[in-house]
Amino acid sequence: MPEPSRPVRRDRDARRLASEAPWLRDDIGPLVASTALGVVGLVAGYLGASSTVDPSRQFAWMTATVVMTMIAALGNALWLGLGRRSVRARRDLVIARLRGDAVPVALAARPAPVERASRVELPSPATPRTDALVPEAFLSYLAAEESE
Amino acid sequence: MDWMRSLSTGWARFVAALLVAGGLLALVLGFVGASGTAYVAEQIPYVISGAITALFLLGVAATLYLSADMQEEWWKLDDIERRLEESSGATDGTSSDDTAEIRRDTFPSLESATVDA
Repeated sequence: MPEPSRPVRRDRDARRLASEAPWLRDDIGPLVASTALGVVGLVAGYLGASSTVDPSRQFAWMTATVVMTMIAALGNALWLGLGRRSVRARRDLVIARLRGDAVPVALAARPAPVERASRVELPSPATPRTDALVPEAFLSYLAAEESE
Repeated sequence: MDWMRSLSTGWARFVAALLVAGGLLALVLGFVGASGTAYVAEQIPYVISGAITALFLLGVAATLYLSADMQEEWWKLDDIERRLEESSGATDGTSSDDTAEIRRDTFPSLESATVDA
């Protein structure tokens, strides 16, 4: 992987940790695009295969449909992988805090609670989180982990 | 992020269940259609509209269901962190009796492995 992409990736990881969900809004783009491609592939494959009685052409349409479906599966797998990675990183931070390990201040504090009907209301944290601090703190946290 | 919150739990699982039902229906209809003719040229469209469509719908359903699971896990971690902040001052990394109680409640298996504070 090219060197400049690592800070960008870490910045996105830090933004995910600061968000209200394991994904960022940008992450939904590849999911929707690949799934839509899968739907288009299914419809086009069915119409194409139905429009001819030549098995060789029908198999070509079926192969194209399978490829489109695989692209959709790839997009869905990417989405799930991103979510799993975020949850794992977040869980590691919580476990570190439970163990009493040092955790960067900006990562230790979470944003204010969000109104949700299914959740018990909790008071706001004493030190509201500043999102601008999160990426740098997370980068230093990762750098410290890598140097160990 | 309202869009993500609305994605997450109840309705996501409901849509996933609908997709699973739709996938099974497509599978059955595809089988019935393909077995109803002896001509390969007539069977292949049924394979696409039945089997491949069923796989696609089941895959999307799995994504929705697992996404809802991860979102709920994320919220649980949120709650745990907030309780930790309330009990230990959020930033000093020290343990208190309350923190130890949360630790026992949340990660019973971790308690035996915890050696440093």
